[in-house]
Amino acid sequence: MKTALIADDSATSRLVIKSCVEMALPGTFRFIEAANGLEAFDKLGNETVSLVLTDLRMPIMDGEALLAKIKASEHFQDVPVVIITSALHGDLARRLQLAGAAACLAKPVSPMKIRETLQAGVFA
Amino acid sequence: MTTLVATSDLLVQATAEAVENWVFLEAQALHSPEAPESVFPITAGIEMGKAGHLRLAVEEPFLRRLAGILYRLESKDVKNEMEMDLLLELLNMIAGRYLSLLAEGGEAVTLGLPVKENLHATSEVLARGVHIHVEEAGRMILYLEERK
Repeated sequence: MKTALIADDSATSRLVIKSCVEMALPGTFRFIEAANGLEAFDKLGNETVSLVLTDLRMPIMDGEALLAKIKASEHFQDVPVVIITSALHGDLARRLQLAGAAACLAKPVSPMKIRETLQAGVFA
Repeated sequence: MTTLVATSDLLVQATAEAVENWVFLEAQALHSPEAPESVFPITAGIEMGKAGHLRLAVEEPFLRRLAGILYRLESKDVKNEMEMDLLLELLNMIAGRYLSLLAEGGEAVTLGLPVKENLHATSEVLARGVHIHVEEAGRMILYLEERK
């Protein structure tokens, strides 16, 4: 079973994202969670993570900084990072994809959106 | 300097879309609503740069019911921290959707983190906000303070 890391400062949001992934791809992932980018990056060092799903706006370290840190890291640069944010628009999505995001999704996510993103894009 | 403005149709649209996509419940604006019997004691606020400052208050059972739907718990088992987290995340999603709609029209947007606000904010929201009914959950009240 692969490991997915969910980074979001809202416990509710982490729960919803986790439920969506479980519904979209049952039995594919086990989950670890972090409440900000710094905590997420620390946890990357302790586990073999196959996928990062991160919120954008979080205290301490935001999702964009986490993305930059992962893509600059020799060890983790190949881990796909999916950004899930409430205020997604074209310019932002383009900027994040240029920075290395595998995909950008608008909150609230749905199992269908997650499945499409992971099957057709991230893990195609 | 800030001024008070009526909440726009765009805000109502953003709220309905956020709620319907998140918890699959219908949401619609109430016209000429009476004051709610009781409200959740904390109001949430979020800074949206030039778009203004958005505040959210909800009827007392609203978050408990919403938490029950999301966490699949009986209302009595819903903890206070779950309600608070839900309130902040709900506002975050509404504000995000609102700004995404603005961005489609070419506006530059910025969004802060949702925070708890003081009692004065609650009174202001109740007095001036737009009331939106969400089926099975109850009423939320949103107030947009536009920045000039």
